[in-house]
This record gives sequence, structure tokens and C-alpha cells, in this order.
Amino acid sequence: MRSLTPDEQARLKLHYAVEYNAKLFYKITDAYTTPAKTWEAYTGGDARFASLGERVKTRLREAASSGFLERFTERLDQKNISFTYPGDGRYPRLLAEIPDPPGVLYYIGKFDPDPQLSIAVVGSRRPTRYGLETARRFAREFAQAGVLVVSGMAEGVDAAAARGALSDELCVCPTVAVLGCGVDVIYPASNETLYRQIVERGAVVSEFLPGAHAERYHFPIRNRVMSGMAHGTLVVEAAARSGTSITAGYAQDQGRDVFAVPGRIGDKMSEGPNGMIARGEAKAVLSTEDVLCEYAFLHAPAETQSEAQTILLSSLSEPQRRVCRLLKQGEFSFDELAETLGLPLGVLNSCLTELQFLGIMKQLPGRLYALDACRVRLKDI
Amino acid sequence: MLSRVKSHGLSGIGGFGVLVETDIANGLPAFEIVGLPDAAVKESRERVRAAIRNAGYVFPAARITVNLAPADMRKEGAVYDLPVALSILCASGQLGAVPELEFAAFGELGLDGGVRAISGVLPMVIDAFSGGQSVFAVPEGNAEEAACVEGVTVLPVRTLGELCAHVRGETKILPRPTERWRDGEVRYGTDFSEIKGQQGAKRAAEIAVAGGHNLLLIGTPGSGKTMLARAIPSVLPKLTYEESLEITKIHSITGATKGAGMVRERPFRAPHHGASSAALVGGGSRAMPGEISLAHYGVLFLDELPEFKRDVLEALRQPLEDGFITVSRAAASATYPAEFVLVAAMNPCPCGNYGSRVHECRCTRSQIERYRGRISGPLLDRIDIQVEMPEVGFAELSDKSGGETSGEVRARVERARQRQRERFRGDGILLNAQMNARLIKKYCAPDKESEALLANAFRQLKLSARAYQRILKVARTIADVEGSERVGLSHYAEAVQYRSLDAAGNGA
Repeated sequence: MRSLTPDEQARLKLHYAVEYNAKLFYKITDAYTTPAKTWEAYTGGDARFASLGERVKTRLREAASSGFLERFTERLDQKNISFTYPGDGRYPRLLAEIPDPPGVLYYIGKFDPDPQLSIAVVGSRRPTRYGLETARRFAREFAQAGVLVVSGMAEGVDAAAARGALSDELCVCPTVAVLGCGVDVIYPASNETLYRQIVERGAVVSEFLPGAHAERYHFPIRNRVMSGMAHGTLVVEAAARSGTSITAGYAQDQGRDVFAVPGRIGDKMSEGPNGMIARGEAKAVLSTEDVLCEYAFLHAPAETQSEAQTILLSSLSEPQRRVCRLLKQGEFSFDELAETLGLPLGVLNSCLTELQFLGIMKQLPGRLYALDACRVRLKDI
Repeated sequence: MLSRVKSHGLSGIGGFGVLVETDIANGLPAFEIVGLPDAAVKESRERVRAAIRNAGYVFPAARITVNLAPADMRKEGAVYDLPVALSILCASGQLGAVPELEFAAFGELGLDGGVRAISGVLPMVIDAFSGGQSVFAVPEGNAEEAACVEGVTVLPVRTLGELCAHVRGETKILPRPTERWRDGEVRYGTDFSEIKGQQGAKRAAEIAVAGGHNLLLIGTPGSGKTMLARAIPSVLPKLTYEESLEITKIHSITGATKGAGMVRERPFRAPHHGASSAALVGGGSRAMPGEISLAHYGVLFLDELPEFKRDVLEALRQPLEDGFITVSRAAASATYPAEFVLVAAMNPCPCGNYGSRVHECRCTRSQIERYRGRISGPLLDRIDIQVEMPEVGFAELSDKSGGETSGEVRARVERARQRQRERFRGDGILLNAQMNARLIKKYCAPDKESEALLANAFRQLKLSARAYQRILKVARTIADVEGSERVGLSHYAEAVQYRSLDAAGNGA
């Protein structure tokens, strides 16, 4: 693991102590402006810490014990767990905007912290066939349009959405699963294969400490992160009063959009979405297009984007990456590229041909080169 | 009385021995020249008559018959003035008792008896020398070029009188020492390091020269196309004695070497786009060499390629493939070598600003297509490397460093050519550009990875089969320039970059 700044060290320790209680985390740290100062105050014996609950105080002592951080980070490393926090470049930009974002977000895998568009697909754990198929189809189409699909990796609609997003081999980092347990815990156990696939091609994220088991009360807390990471939340199938309606409620509170796929009236599993539509809480959605058109300002309409393909910069060779990063700034002529990058001309030439054939870059008249934004989007992960 | 003087005739860059025989008989005074002389040779009668008198000798008042043997070959030009005059003087006994002259003589006479330089001395000297003749009396103005040939004795002649005195043994003409071949550095007008920016085009030029590929430069006005073309001779390998001699031979035929010695620089020929096909490939009643032969072992630069007349460009196709041109006319037929690097330049569109970031292009798409369509596909297919030259920005112009000098680039080119010579030993060619389909298969077969890339290129750029072969050849040269034995993926990938016109044709 990279070496940690004092702020990061303090943040990990404090988060360890308060666990998932983001409100408490901010209550403590806001008083001292930064986590590092907070920790200093604690070790200095500040009286204000005395008023905290017993559990938190015990955990603070534990965190303050010598060698704690070393053991903790070693465990993270062993399991390939990374972490991020508000203010860090890897932290989901949308999530940082909600009222009480997780003070530390653990993750395994890779994800785009600032996607053009991300949609949370939520629904019942026991959907009908219709619900499963709809979730799967919508998620697949979203992923193909370059949308990041956020789900909870629960059984039912969540799992179907994640599978749908992963079903197109060409999509890169198409999905993120927000877990109600530690990122290294597979829950439910039946989703083990899916978990491995998500970790390989996307990411699992969680604010719960690694190793934490899923508890009933975790899920509502987790749900605010799901809706918080997405521009909009799509409800596929849900009972009238369910975890799904909690997520939709969070989305509304956070000022995000809610969409619902209508179902047959009379069906138990249609009551949730149909009720939201009827009450005017959600927009009725008949195809992915109905969702995408809401975000035309963020995201070009699907027909012009249909071929857009996402390519990870990390999948390219070093010189290719350098060319791409430069071209992100605009058009460059061959000589400007050669001048700026200082690559041998032969290497540059072959790089350009390869990028051209990957569809990443096109050649304009006058030997100018530019990224082909209509066909691919680059993610710098 | 009868006399014989040796001389020589020219046909193409070869020649034939000519014997000038003169018979002086009693009878009504007359002066006839026979042996298929052309108008210029017939006119020499008047020059000879005046020159003999003004040199202080007597023009015999008798029946004079001059025969230029062999009688079935056409004799052209003023080459025979000097041998004819000499022969008449010998036959009339004014030079002593009919001497046997050891030398062969060429030269035009002035009315005052002076000897003037002629064209085509070097090829004649070389041809005669290979036939066993080793002493030559040539006009002083031609002495330097004649003295290029190692082993000959050259007598520089200023006047007819001087030569007569030499024959009579009164004053000897000192032979001009033959010039030793100096393998020195030649300074060309434009050096690579003087070209600012355009690293990409310079690299393309280096590859073109290394493999003997033809080059097309496409760029907006002022992007430096002409300057780059002018610098290309400076990165070609140094001339060898044999090459230099061959170039001088061709240039000698057109009279360009009068008063000058051997051609030591790689020729750079830039005919105007109004040129006729005869001017370019050779022609005229005497089947003279054209620009392509004058550019032999050098660079033929065709600026504004689409402005050339179509038939002129089409005439280039065959010599580009063969490396020689046979010019056939009713009266004469000659074969000239024509191995040159073709460097062509064109604007990207009629107004010249297509692709410019500074000036707006006002051409319509159909205008651009028509403009580019003027260069036929078959000709374009013979140009292996096509490269666009972007505008040069102010930053590059003001930048002091121009990059490598021509000498450094030439060193790489020479190494690459050496590698090719070794590889093609036994294949009968010297350069990658000359590979045929069989050799391409033998030396440029792509590996699996590269084949995928090329298949992609083939599909995306809609290449012709011929263009595909060109990419393989250019890739081989790139590998040679880089010093790599095997042609790798990066070499093929780079070669694809040099099909600008194919790419632009279906891109954008």
C-alpha cells in the first residue's frame, strides 16, 4: 500500500471507531476541521470525547493501540482492498454531494469516479420473471450506452441488473455493486460467481469495515450510498413497502431522479413502481431511452452513442497512453505530438496506427490527430 | 592523296567509331562530305574551309571528298569539324608525309580556326576507350570531363593551328593529367538541419531514400515541401566513381558539362509542370535524354503534381518500374538509364488550405476529389510513401535547433542500404523498392500479430492489393533503418501511416 498521509491515517482510525455512523464521523471531525487534528485532540485527552458512547470509546482505544494501523492496512493489502474518502480523486463525485457521504469508502476492483451518467437499478429480492428480464435488459442497454449501472448485489433484481451490465463483453467497468457488508464478504453466498465477475470487470464498494457481516439494519444505510452514487434510481419491481421504496426515498431527498418500470396492476410486485408512478413520485419508463433522454445534456442520445465503446487507458501501452492523454486536450499535428512527447518517430508512428485501428483516434486532413469521441470514450483508471 | 583520322559518333549514351577519310584528287575544285551526314555536318564544310585558311594553311583547290565511315550510321552535330579539317590538311601534305595519327579527334571549329567545346565528349571517350583508343584530342572546354576517365591521354586543343603544330612535331601539346577520383564531402544547397519542424516528413524522406521508395509530399503552401525535396540529394549515399561517370555521361550528351568536370553531386531535377512528355522521358529527332534520365542516381522533383498533364504522368509509369527508358524515334533510338527517387509534391486541395488551422479552405468536396483524381491510381500505387506535411507554426520557425544534419541521416541511410545489399545478394536487386511479389513473400512475411493489424488496415483503409504490397516493402525498409533483422509489428504499423492519400480518401 502507498504510504498514508497523517490525515489518511487519522481518518482510517476514526472511521474504524465510528463504523458506519457517518453522521457521528462528521460530528466529531467537524469540530477539529481535519481528521488529523481530531486524532491529535483525542490522543491529547480532549474532554469532548468523554461524552461518546461506550462502544465508540472502546474502539477508539483499540485504534489508538500501537501497531493497529499496520495490522489494519496489511489486511487491506492482503485482500486487495483500496479505500477512498471525500476530497480524494477516486471518490465518486456524485456521492460526495449527498448530505452525509461515507467518511471512508472501501472498494475492490475499479470504477469510474466521475461517469457521464450512472443509474442505480433497484428492486425486489424476489421478483417475477418479468422483473428479472426487465432488470437484465435495461442494465445491459445502459451499459452499452456507456452508463455506469449501480446495484446492491442482493438476490433478485440487483443481481439481474449486475449480470445484465456485465453481459456485454465489450463494456468496460460497466457496474458497481454497493454492499451492505464489508467489501471482502460475499453476501448472499449464492452470488459468489457474480461477485468475482464484478470485482474483475467493475467494483464492489462499501462503507462498512472489511470483514463486517451483513446485518438487517445495514441495508437502509447502504441504500443512501446507492442512490447517492447515481444520477437517477430506476425501480424495477418492488412491493409497496420495501427496502426499494427506502432507496427511492433517499434518491428524492438527495435531489436525484426516480424512474419506475410499470408492471401489471394487481400484481404484488408491481405495487411499488406503479404506486410511485401514480403518486407522481417517479417517471414511468418504457425503455432505456426514456431514462437517457432525461440526461441528454450530460449524455448524447443513445442512437449516436450506440457504437460508443469505453476503453481503459490502462489497457494501452505506455506510449499510447501518453498520446491519448495529450489528445484529450484537443487536436495535435504529428510534429506537435513528436515535439511534446519526445517519443522516437518510429514509435510514435506505429502508436498512431494502432490507436487509429482501435478506433480511439482519427486522422484529420493536414496530418492532425484527434480522439474519436463519437466511437469511444476513454476512462483514465 | 588519301588520309585517315579517327573520330567517334554518339548514339544514346553509347557510341561507334568513325573514321574520317579524305581523298584529294585533281579536277574541278569541289568539297563533298558523304557518309550520312546531317545538316550540321554538311555546314561544317564552310567552317572547315574558313578555319584552315585563317589558321595559316591553304585550303586545296582540288576535288575533295570526305567520307565518314561507317556509311550507314547517321552522323550528327559539329563533332567532325576538327577531324575533317585535320584530315584535309594531312591529305594535302601540309602536315608532313601523311602521318599516322595516334589520337582520335573531336571538336567544332570557329571560322578563325579556334576549337569550340561540343556536347557528348565523355560518352564518346568512354566508348572509344573501351574499344582500345587511348589518346584523344578534344576541345579545351571538354578536356576536364574527358580527363575523368582513368587511363586516357587527353590533349586539350585550343586552335586548329596548335594541333597541326603538334602533328608536325613543332610544339607538343601537353596532355592534361587525368583527374583522380576524390571521395570528398559534397556540399549541397540545403541541409536537413536547416529544415525547421516537419520531423514526420523528414523521417518519411529518410525511409524513402533508404529503400529507394518514391515519395509524395502533401501540404499547404509554405509548409516546406520544396525545401525538403531539395535537401533529399544530400542524404543519398555518396556517389561512387562509376555512378558519377554514368551521370556525367548523360549530362554530357545535353552539353551541360561543357567547361565543367565530372558531376559530383546527386542531380536534382525539377521540371516545371508545363513540361511535355518528350521533355520528361526524352525524345526529339535525335532521341535525347529527358529529365528522368538527367535525374539518374538523383532526385526528380515534380512540384504541383496534379498540374502535370495526364499523358506526361502516365509516361512515367514504365520507367519508374524498369529504371531505364528506351526513346524511339523514326531516325534514332536510344536507351537511357533512369534510376531516380521520385519526389512529388501537391497541395491538399485546389486552394491549398484544406486541413489548415489558420486559413479556411473554400473548396467543395467535389473540387477536392477532382483535384486528387488527376493523379491516376496506377501512378499513385507506384508512390510507396505518401505523407502529409502540416503547417509549420511560429514556435517551430523560431526554434533554433533544426534536428539532425544530412550527414547523420545519410550515415543511417548508407547502413540501411548496406543491409539490403547483403540480403539481396543473389536476388539481382539492390533496394527494397525493387522487390517483386516473390521476394516480398520471402523477406516481408508478417507474423500473426502483424497480420491482424494489416487485415485491419486493409479493411479500414480499403487498400488495393498493390498498396498492401507497398506497405510490406516500406515496413521492410523501416526495419532496415532501425537496424532490425526481423520486420515487427511496429514497423508495419508505421508503414501504414505512409498511405495518407488512401486514408484521407475514405476518412474525414
